[in-house]
Amino acid sequence: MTAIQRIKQKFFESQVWRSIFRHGYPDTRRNQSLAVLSNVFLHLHPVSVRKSGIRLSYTWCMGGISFFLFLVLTVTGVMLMFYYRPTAEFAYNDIVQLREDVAMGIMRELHRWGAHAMVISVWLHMYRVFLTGSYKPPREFNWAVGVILLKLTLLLSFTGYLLPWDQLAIWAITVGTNMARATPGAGHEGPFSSMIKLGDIPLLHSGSDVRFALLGGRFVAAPALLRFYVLHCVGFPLIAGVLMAVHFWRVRKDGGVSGPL
Amino acid sequence: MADLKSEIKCPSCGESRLASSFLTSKVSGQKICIACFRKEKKAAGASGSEAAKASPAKAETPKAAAAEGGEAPRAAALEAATAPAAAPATTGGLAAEGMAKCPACGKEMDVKRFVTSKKSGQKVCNMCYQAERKAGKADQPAPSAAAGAGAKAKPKPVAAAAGPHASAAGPVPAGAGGAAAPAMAAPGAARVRAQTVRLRSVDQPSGDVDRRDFLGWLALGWTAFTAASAQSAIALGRFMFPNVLFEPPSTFKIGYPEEFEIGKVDERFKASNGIWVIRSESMIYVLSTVCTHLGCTPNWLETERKFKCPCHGSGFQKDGINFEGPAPRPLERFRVKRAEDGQVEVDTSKKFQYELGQWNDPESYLVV
Ligand code: HEM
Ligand code: FES
Ligand SMILES: [Zn+2]
Ligand SMILES: [Zn+2]
Repeated sequence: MTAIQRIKQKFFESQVWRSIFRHGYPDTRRNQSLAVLSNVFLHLHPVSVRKSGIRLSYTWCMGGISFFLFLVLTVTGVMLMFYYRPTAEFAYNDIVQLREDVAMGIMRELHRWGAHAMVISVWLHMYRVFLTGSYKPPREFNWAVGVILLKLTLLLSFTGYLLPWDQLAIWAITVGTNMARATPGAGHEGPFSSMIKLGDIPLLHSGSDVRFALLGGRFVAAPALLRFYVLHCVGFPLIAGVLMAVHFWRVRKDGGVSGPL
Repeated sequence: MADLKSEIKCPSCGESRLASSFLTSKVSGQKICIACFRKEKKAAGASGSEAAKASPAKAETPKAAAAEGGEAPRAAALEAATAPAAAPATTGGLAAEGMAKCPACGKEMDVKRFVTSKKSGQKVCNMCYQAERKAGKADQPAPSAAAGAGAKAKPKPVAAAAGPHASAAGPVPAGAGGAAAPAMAAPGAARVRAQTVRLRSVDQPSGDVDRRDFLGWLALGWTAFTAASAQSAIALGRFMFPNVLFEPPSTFKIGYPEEFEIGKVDERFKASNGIWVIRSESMIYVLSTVCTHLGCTPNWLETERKFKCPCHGSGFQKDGINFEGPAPRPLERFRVKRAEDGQVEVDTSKKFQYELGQWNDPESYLVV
């Protein structure tokens, strides 16, 4: 045995290595399976995939690209958080600073372009799933999970759009959140709102409806910026992350990516 | 048999307990209370041998016997229970390695996957064995029913199978196979039976809380948990509604009427309060700066004498009437009145809409 072989053996048979990896080098069918099954991240994925499942012309890889973009956005987003302050006073200037002065400020550009790209890729993924009829049993539940993921993607995009706190952002969110005024039974201009009252006193007004809770006020101002920031950086990514785990697990449990008809 | 809800006296400890918590003793075959039953079981477990562990499995047999009125033949049951474990390991006529045909389904299979059937005593394939077990389970009475009603308890097929099992036993293959072979022979079946034992003891009521009580507590627990969750959801919802707003007050004074030029759109309060103040020949009215399309803020273009919204191009005349773009209705007006000190006071919490005929309301303008 050469010295290198001895070192290698010592290393791979050490307690540390063995405590982390419970299988040999994945060059046998068994070890390959174990590599997937004994890894908390990989086990969400099927151990083996049908050949058609990795054909680009079948999946367009749009689900995979959506997930990749989500990871890119998570990393770049966390980096932006080191400079960005979600207050009316600083928000806009911090974005300008990120763009003009911060080293690797391109993270901001990556985050914004990545966000646009993810919205597109998620839609295309849904379109692909529809075209291949992959929403049919047993995959109905995963379609439903997908619909929620789509909504979360759009909500992430929407909440992030306010954060630069420029004219485009403020008015886009003003217009967008005005829709909430018309929520049936919950928005003060929506259906049934006039029926929700105590004697003569209306209970649902501009200071007590869903839009008020969403913005933390009656119009888009500093409290709305802070709320959207928290939802954008913590709330929605967390829910989306959990649902993605469910989504991938279900792909595995429903027999892997569907095959061509 | 006594009603399950009535109290009867335990022959072993003399205490009165609910009839539903009585079990058949493995020692005396009498119905005794659960506390005594557990004591008895612990004592049996303490002896530590494999046989003692296996013996509860056969408990069903003496139970049935007891129900028929006889004395519990505990020793016999014990013997039956231990027979397979004590019997020499066997290959059941199969080679230790290679392929063999399953007598039940006829498939060729690795001999390592063969198990002794409890019905026929033959070696059958794993799949047939599982199917047999499943079928067997389906027609067994629930253990709790057996404990309570006793009389109808059927002898378990497990014990019945012990006979043919033991008779099927052959000599252990000698040599190197000695250690490996038992894994596929009779002890394999014994292992399965040991599992059954454990499952059954879980099914038996344990401790001082009986099944009925337990379900009650369970329901109470879940109800409390649901109530607490609902309450925190409501609290969280309330949390999202701020009590203090850093917004301008809805009622405020804007100065004396003379300070407003006739025919001019006053933009001084646009940024701070979201209003335009307009004075015509005869009156003052206050327009909201919120575009009735989707809520942007239009600009007053003095040269073109119109309000123009930058978002989607809606246009409004000086009186607030919409005339171009997507806005579906005129701008809103706010309540305006003369305060006691003579100043003009605006109240943005009360709005007046043209399309509802509210601009005729005397509160919507101030005669000057
Ligand atoms: C955050 C957004 C999403 C991510 C990251 C994502 C990710 C993935 C991935 C990686 C796959 C494996 C196959 C492939 O790459 O095409 C997949 C499959 C699937 N996705 Fe999504 N997805 C998302 C949104 C959606 C949406 C919006 C829908 C539909 C409403 C959806 C429904 C499905 C279904 C039904 C499958 C199984 C398809 C099959 O077996 O052929 N997903 N998803
Ligand atoms: S919001 Fe003013 S035109 Fe659309
Ligand atoms: Zn007792
Ligand atoms: Zn078979």
